[in-house]
Amino acid sequence: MMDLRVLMLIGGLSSPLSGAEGSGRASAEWVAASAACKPASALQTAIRLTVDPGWHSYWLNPGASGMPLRVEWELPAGWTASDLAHPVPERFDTGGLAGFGYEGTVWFPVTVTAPANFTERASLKARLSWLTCNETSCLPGNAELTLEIDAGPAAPTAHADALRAALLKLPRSANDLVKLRVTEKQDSLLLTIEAHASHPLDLTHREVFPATPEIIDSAAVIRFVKQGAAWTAEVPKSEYAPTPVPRLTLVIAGDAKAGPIELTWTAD
Amino acid sequence: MKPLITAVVAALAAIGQPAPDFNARSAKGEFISLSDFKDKVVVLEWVNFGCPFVNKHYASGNMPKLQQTYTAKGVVWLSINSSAKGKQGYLDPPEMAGLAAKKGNQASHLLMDTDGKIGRAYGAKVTPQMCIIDKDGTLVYDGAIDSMATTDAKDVTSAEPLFVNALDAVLAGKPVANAKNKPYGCGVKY
Repeated sequence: MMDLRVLMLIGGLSSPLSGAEGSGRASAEWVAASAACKPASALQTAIRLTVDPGWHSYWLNPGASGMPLRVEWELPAGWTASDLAHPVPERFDTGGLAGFGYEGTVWFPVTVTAPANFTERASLKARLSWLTCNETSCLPGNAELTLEIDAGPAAPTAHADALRAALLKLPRSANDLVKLRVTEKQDSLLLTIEAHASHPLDLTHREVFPATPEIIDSAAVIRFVKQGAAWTAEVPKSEYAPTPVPRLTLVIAGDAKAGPIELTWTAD
Repeated sequence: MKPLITAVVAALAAIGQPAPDFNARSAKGEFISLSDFKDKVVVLEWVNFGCPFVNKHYASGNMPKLQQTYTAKGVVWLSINSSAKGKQGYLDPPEMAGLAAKKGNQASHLLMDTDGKIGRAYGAKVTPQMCIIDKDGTLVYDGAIDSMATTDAKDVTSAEPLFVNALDAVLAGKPVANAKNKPYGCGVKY
């Protein structure tokens, strides 16, 4: 126990300016686009998680095993925080189990909103816990992060540009222009995607991920092929899929021409 | 070239079907068969003390307490180590027995499934994964220990105890409501 505390202390001292807190195989930091915000306004922030080389963290849908990033907010009265937004993940095969997650440094944007009576300074806290795994083992980690915000007009920080870039990497909901339909078969699901005529869509080389856990078998590679005006893919159901399938959200990675999108289907 | 055998092979075990028989040496060197326990309720618990999800349930005392409580009710509790030699979680049997004792393991037996035969027959994917076999030898539960897929010991008390609910139903002679659900944990190191 003592060893761990000494190690964390050394880690803290060696990077006094970064504010990154680490344990296990990753470290985390909470950064904002601006050092200040006005009352009753929103501020763009992000949790930045950096995982050691050779290890990975997990997406919202971690796949066959693993654990998503978990956050508990401790905010002053009147403050609110959005959910953590997750960028498009990568696919991992760890000892025969398919998983979705991230290597290296990943930004998880979150918007915080100040109350109308915000004056002076606020101290926001987030307790973060994560799981990192490599080919052979898994290690949990956690961090208690603090974000200090002054009341006042926006004052861009050194992180503002990187945060803007992180937002562009997030899948955008495209449900208004692109329709996902799911037809249930015995052991598989037929996925159909149809885009509005004004919004041509090419899914030929785009990677697709199931954001809703345990509807599609995590090991299945989802490839859409063009059939007339629509794109279709038949995928194996997860052995834990409820019958009937109530809902499915897919994340489709971007390509050179288009950014990542998110599509949701809900049973009638 | 030998075909690559992965963990993703069709399991023989299925809910509502006869539980596949197996035999293995325990960490203490006893020869154990499932058929030794006819007319008993048998619990299978996949274990790997290098896994933080397993340690959550040992550090919190939850797993030892369940082992003690239910073996006292006549349940046969088999902890199973399916880690292959050289993989995480594998120890030579005497060392494994020693570590299990240190962690507070109170299972009836701790089986060394080093070749992964039992794990594959039951489709064990993660540690801790839990199975229940009823008195008639039928597999009646295959799933998670509880509803919170985290590594934090303090979540044990707030989680829905899926496995305990199932085991209580089996002991009361009632049907199991959530017989197959997704277990959480670290991949079994076949």
